[in-house]
Amino acid sequence: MAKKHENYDVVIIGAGSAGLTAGIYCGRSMLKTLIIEQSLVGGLITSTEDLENYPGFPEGVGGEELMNLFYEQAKKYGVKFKFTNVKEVDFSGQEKIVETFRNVYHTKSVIIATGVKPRLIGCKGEEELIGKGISFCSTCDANLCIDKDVYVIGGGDSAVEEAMYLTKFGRKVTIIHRRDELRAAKSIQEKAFKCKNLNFIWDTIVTEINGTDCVEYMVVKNVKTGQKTIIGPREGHTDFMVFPYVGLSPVTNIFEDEIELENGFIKTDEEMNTNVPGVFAAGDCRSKSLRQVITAAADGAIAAISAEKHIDYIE
Amino acid sequence: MSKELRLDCLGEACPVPLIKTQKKMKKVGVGDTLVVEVDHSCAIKNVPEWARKEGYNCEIDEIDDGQWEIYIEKTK
Repeated sequence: MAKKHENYDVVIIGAGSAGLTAGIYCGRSMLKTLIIEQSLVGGLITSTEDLENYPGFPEGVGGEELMNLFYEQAKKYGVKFKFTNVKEVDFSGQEKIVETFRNVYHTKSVIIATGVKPRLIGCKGEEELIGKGISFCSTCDANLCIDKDVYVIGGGDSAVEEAMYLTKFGRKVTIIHRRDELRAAKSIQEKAFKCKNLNFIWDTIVTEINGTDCVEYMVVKNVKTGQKTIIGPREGHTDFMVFPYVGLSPVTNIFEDEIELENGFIKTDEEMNTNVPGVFAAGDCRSKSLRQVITAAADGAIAAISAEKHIDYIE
Repeated sequence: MSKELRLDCLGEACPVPLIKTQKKMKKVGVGDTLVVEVDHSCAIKNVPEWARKEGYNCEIDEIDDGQWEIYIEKTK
């Protein structure tokens, strides 16, 4: 089937907080704008149940709820949405090309706001069991933890917060961390150490996760002594749950031949310019120090204005 | 020559569109595309999720307020 060709001023890849904010700004600037999203609107923050540091919401706000407001606002300003994944891009000409499986979009500028995804532990058996006992979303899969043992891998803010949340569901929740102390913020640690149902295994990494359609056992190794231990389900159960929270990696592989990356993250200046004129990046996929909804949104606004300036310049 | 087939799921609530899609996809040839017409928002979540898990190409068009067409290309 022949692909349909369409022209835009701005194509934004990703509908998380950065992409949606860029969309709002582009829409308000009367630019013909398309946002392409491969999954659902809202990005990674939608897996956060309660957002307590987003200004303007003293009572806190749900990640998904906030993102739906962003989405409504972008639609209000005439931004078009397309729910599919980008297959290929070509940034070599002044006109940029973004291809999906049914369309070819010709655009004057591109804003990459593809964000990050949870990093894998990288142990044997892990990939086969994703969605079958290994989960990256405690909010989504908390119900599967009821009455089971739960292991959270990692020691950062997310790992500890998610582990605390899971204590409401799991019979017993254990954090497995490769160091002898947590990396999470002190305020979070304090809460965690008071949490009744939360246990810790220190200096330990997971080397293997095993099972057919669920996690039946895993092998862990103490990094100091080198001793390996097998962890199985609690008595009377056939499986348990594993939640890896060991960091995030950028979703930028389709751009690696087109723009400059830094450890996978997109290199930009303060105006969100990449090394290719007309191509901008915003949000978590960018090389930066603080990854929050508010900083992603700020990036989106800046990228939109930079894209507008670029369009004015080339015309 | 690849074909485009249509499946009318208008007025059907979940999980009916997904079940109908799964059934219909069995009869769709490799390289052909099925266009599923839906007007229940839950279907634009679970149908594409299933399609991508199967490894098919998938794309959603909002053709009217609250009405969508889900394009699924059988890739293998």
